[in-house]
Amino acid sequence: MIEISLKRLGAGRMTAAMVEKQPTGMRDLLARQVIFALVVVLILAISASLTIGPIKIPVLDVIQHYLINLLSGSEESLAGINLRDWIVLSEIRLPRTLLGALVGSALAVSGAVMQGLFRNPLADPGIVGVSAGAGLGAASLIVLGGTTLAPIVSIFGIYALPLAAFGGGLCSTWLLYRIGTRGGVTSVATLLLAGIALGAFAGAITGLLVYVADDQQLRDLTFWGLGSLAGASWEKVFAAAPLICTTLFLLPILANGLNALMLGEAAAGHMGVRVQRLKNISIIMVAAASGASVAVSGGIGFVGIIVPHLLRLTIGPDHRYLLPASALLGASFLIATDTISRTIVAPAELPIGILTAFVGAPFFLWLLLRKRGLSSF
Amino acid sequence: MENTALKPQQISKNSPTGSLEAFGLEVGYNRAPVIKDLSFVAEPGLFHTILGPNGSGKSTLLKALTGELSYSGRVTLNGESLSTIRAETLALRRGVLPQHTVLAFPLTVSEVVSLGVLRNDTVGTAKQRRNRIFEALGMVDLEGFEGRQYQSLSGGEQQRVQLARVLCQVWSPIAEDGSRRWLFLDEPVSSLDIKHQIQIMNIAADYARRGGGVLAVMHDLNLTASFADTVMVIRNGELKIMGSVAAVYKDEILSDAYDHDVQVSHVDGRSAPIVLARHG
Repeated sequence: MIEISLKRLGAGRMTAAMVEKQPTGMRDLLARQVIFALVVVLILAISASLTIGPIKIPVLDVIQHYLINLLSGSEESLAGINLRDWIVLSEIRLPRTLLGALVGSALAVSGAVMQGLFRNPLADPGIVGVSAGAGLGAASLIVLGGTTLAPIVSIFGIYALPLAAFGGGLCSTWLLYRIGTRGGVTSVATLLLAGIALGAFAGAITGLLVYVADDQQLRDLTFWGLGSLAGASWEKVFAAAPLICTTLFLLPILANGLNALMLGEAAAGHMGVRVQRLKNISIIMVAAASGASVAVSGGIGFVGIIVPHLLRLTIGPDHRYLLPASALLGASFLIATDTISRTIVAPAELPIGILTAFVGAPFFLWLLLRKRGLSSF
Repeated sequence: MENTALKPQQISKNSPTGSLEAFGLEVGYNRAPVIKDLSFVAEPGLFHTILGPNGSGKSTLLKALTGELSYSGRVTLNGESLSTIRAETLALRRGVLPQHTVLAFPLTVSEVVSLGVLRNDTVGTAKQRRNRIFEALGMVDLEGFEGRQYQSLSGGEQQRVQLARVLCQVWSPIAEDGSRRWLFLDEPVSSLDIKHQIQIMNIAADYARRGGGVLAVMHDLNLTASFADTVMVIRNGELKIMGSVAAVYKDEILSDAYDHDVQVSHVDGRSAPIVLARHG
């Protein structure tokens, strides 16, 4: 009887198939559905970010005209498009939205990888001083780029800044790992303390650089501390994209190793994971992604903690799903916050770092308090 | 069960398929050797156990044999040197049950066990590999626990979940190329109640009966006597004796090994001897 009705109802049959596919306690199917939903959310966030602003732009209309002109081989590819709309869209909003997507996914994924590596949900490039190291690298280049570090700037061009931030992030991540690890065991307490010390030290040197900086450099440096996407340009998108995209595409090779690492380093080794290699790759990837995002947007905090944590609560800690889902949600989250930050006090603009901290800090506290309440964890 | 005690001197260098062998094994933390010049041959198809007092080097020995600790000397599995087997390949040849496992993030029971089904294990269909999870949970008497949070389980239940995970990793005792798989167990029953102690020992013994190798560090002398095919006695990092239960379970051998007066008794209707410690 039930079988017949299930067969008749398409939805019922789907449920039956899902039950068969999804054994108890496994969250694969849910994770896939969530990832699909996050793709939709990202598309919506991008559309909203392109549309909303001091000037309302009919984005679909513009794109439609552009594509028709392009496909019909018309010489005037912008025919029928309001020129002002086109310029605002292509020169201001599109690079800014893309930069937001890149930075948001980089921050969220860096957080997720770092938490997996350190086996702790509170690890984050911002908290353990990696971002401060990246900031120091970038500040050095801004201040000394015209003098001492001029050769680097002439060799790497627009990539000099993200590479300097990457180098700074890599150094501090590596130092942190060396300090926090004794006999193959990483002590989280040591790690956090060392991260705070390293962050303060990097901050002090950055302070010295501020002291010797001229007016223009000072303006550039101040923008760092606040964290903002306001300076977005195609140049920045192209500068950050290679490092961040490489990291995002390489993520799948980390997922199984990080999953095994949930059982501890020894058990991961027994399961065929080359733990030291996994650590090395993870550290380089975190430094690359967070370094590049710090280089183009300054210190935007808490995205790396909130996003992976929320996702772990919904789809579980399986890194095969957690990492791509973090990238998607991180991108959407930053694009959405950026849209709010540039419209809430329009025509002025609130630095996005203030907004993410405004949401993130209470969330972080809630996380700490909630953890204390759970004796089993 | 043969009564001849196998002494290290009798070991030949010709390695039959599937055996686990150590020659002149030395392991040391910070140069002080914990394991000194230890050699043995363990054949698959048997349940091997390691006994010895606390701090004698049992766990260190197991860690060296599983490749977790670096060592000098030579360890071979299936005739192949442990240090030259690729990590991914080794993971399909032997599973290791640690004493304790602390999870970094909350997982459900079936998610923990599913970690044991390795991605590079291509034997059987995906569905069959997936079904292993539930079969393994059934073997350790945890049916119906699939959706439970691992963190919410008792220590003994968690240990059984971990065993199910390890069983998934080395599912069939004989690999498709004919080589034997090994189970390394570090005090597998120390946190379990008596029913589940027997159950886990039965699983290990069954794995050996089906052709796999089992090597377990044990604490409980009586449980070991009931299930083990061979017993290695380690003291101060040295292999004192390796042999069958009948050969090793003698008053003077065990008293000497544990530095305490123990008495081995035999009870009618029970094949395994019983060990009692004198006190008072």
